[in-house]
Amino acid sequence: MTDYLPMFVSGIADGSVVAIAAMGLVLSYKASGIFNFAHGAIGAVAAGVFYQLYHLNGLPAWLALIITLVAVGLVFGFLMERVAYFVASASATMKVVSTIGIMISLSSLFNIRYGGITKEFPSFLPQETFTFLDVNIAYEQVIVIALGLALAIGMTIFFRTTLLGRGMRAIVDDPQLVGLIGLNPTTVRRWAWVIGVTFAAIAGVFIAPNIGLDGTTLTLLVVEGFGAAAIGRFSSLPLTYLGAVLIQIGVAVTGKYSADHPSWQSVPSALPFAVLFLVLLLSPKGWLVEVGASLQQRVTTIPNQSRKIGAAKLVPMVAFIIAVPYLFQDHMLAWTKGMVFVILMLSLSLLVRLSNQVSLCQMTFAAVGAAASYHLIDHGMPWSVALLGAGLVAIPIGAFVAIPAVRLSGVYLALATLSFGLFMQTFMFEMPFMFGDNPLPLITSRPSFAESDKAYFYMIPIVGALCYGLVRLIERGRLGQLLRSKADSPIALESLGVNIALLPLVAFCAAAFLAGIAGALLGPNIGVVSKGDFHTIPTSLLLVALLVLNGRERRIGSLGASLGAAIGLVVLPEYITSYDWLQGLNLLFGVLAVEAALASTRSSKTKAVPPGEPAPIETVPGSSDPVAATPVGGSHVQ
Amino acid sequence: MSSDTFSGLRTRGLTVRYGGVLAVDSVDLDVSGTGITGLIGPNGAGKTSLFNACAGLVRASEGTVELFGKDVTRQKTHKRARNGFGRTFQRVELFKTLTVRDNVEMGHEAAYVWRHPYSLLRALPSERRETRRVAEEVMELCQITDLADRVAGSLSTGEQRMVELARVLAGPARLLLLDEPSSGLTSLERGRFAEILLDATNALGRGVFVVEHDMDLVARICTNVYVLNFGKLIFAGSMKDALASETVQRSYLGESVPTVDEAASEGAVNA
Repeated sequence: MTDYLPMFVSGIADGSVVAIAAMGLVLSYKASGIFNFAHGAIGAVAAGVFYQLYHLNGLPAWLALIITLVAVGLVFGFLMERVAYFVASASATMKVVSTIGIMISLSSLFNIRYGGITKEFPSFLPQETFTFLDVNIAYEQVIVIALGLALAIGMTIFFRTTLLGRGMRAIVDDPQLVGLIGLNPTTVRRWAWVIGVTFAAIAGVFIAPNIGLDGTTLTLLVVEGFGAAAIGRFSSLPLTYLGAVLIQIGVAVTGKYSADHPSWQSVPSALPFAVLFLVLLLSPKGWLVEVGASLQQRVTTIPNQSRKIGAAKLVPMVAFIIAVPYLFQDHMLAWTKGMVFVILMLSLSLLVRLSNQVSLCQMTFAAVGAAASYHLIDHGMPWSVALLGAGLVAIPIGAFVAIPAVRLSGVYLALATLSFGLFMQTFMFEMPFMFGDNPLPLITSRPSFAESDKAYFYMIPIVGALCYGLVRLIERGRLGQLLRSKADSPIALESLGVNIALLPLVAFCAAAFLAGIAGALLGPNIGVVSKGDFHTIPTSLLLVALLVLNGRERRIGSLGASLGAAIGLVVLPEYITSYDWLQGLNLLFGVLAVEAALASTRSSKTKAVPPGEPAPIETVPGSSDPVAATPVGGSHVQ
Repeated sequence: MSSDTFSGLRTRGLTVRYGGVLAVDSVDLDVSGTGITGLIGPNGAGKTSLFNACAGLVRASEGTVELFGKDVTRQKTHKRARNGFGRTFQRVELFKTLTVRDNVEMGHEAAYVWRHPYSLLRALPSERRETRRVAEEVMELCQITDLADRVAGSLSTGEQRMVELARVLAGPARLLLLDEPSSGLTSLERGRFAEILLDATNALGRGVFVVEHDMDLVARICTNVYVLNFGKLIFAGSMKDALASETVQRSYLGESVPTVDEAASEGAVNA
């Protein structure tokens, strides 16, 4: 047991830093109703700024720290407040996409500045140690623990006693009431964001010496704080602090244990994500309340799906696909991959566009499909049977992820899928039954009837057409109508006798099936497949962002949006050889995704009502005064 | 007490508590599956709680709810709907992005869902035909045929109420619960609503149980009425008796009807 004592100390120290990040997240979420997926990326940017000032420019550590925190806190605090304000009335999907877009943009900026390779981050805190109860403790750890504890206690007191603090707790429920007690709602929100973002920055700077300057790892570390926030019900700061410390102690202890037990190797990195998923999975009904959902209004009007695909669209598309092997001979494999991603995008569009659910783990379904088809072929199954099998194997996985979807919606479903994807990536992907027991990629084979590049390329759109047929069948069929109805009014659909709990489950199963098939098609393209092809961050997130920004124009339908998104995500980068330009492309995608999310509240016919503005008369509940409820919509021009 | 196969909604000792607050206190209802029955009472009398307990949105603390002879006390909302319950909402709940026709058709189609494995994907041709026919018929009855291709969210409140009524009429529900159907309507629209409701339910042979504030409307459409005050049933009987009953007068009717003098004196007492 004494062997493990140092692990407790380092766990508490790490936990303190993660707790700071998680508390910042909870704070801004409580005050705005917007869950900030970019929280980790902001922490990474802060670490980058500090690195620049302290290491490269040679400023003293304390000065560099102050400048970093003030600059990052103010800039991103103000920025996030504006974004949050404008997407407050957007759909849950768009809220998620808006901060994911910011996350993608910031990560790309970070990579453009510091490259994709981890740099050593100089420690700026005293490195000396002292011995206490036979444990070597670094002064650095003491400082971090004290800082975490001080901020946790300070913020709790601030929330309970000060006017501004109480205003922050109240504002998301009723901005106008906050105005009545003499606080400017915008100021309250802005300060909540500034504090929240500053906490992310503190966490980023203090954790960086341990892991180096690496955008992805820094971002992920803050994502580990999501689990702590879930333990605190995304609301309680003391519980969030406690959750973070407990999780990180768990990580440290299992890390030590796994040193002697190789089979436990991936437990430490998977633990925080498993906690997040389990909390979301097991939380009783009504335990997690979506902050700000009362202000949420469905403002997008989906025109009825056109009954025909339309030869005008289809003929050029088919002609183009036939011409691809002749036009882009040098990039055949990229175009093939692009076609596979169309299927992946179709599976996602089923959820996002039709069912109004976000899945941030679409690559995970694809990974399951890829592994399944490899093993099925390995066991002597014919290629095409294995392809179908890949889709079928993914279905129970989809059903499992959808269990939270039955009860949770909006941001919590997004978090459940994100944590599931990260858990699978850090834990299951490492298992021999998925990608083998060594780090080498799996060797995949093409079917005997499509050995050549050209034949394999042509095969994909054919499979894709079948998949699209299934999507159309669902979209135009009864399930599509039920999902659209449910998005409009779940309570009405239930009152008609439909068990609405099962609808998202069915949608997830169908999406997982298609994604599994796409995953199985991916490997044979270049002959190998490995776990690195299926990263949740950033690939699954980019999928969502690209689909949304390509789907802005509702008229282009799911096929058009999927095609555009796949080309943007997979084919376009093949033509870019410079690392910086590649990151620049991602930056563009991120910015456009944010723009699409913001535009979603503007473009609709029904005017969006940002919080703080008076609501239109129609939304005043239960008004029985005939004058107040004079028909207004009847004369609307289509 | 009549036989077990009472055709309609029957509650026995139905009680709803929110924490320590007694919202509905041991209420016995016998709402017939034919004709229109009203439920009235002053604000805060527990009408909506009683209503929601019948529809399954609120769990009954005590007592039973029976629908056409079947105990549904522990059933969820959608199960009760399958047992013959249909309802509308105080704030209109339409599928706003769908057309009026799609809304009404969904009212009928919902009953086919989960009926066979294929049912989620596609309607069988016979189901499709039947859905179309019923929707047309109901839209005709509710006089919204000319709105059929409009998007429901773009209609006026009055039109939306009609669509909501048509949607529930298109379904198999034998007893409709209407929650304050006149709220948000102009007096002109209220009159039209009453007329259509009477005609449509007569033509289709459905029972209606309506919570309503507007006494004119209630007096016009209801044959029987229940009066609720402070969670307790204080009157059950015909509309005519209710208007004559002194208990009812004192607790509620002073607000609007029936004679000017009484209304004035009641108003003074209430104030």
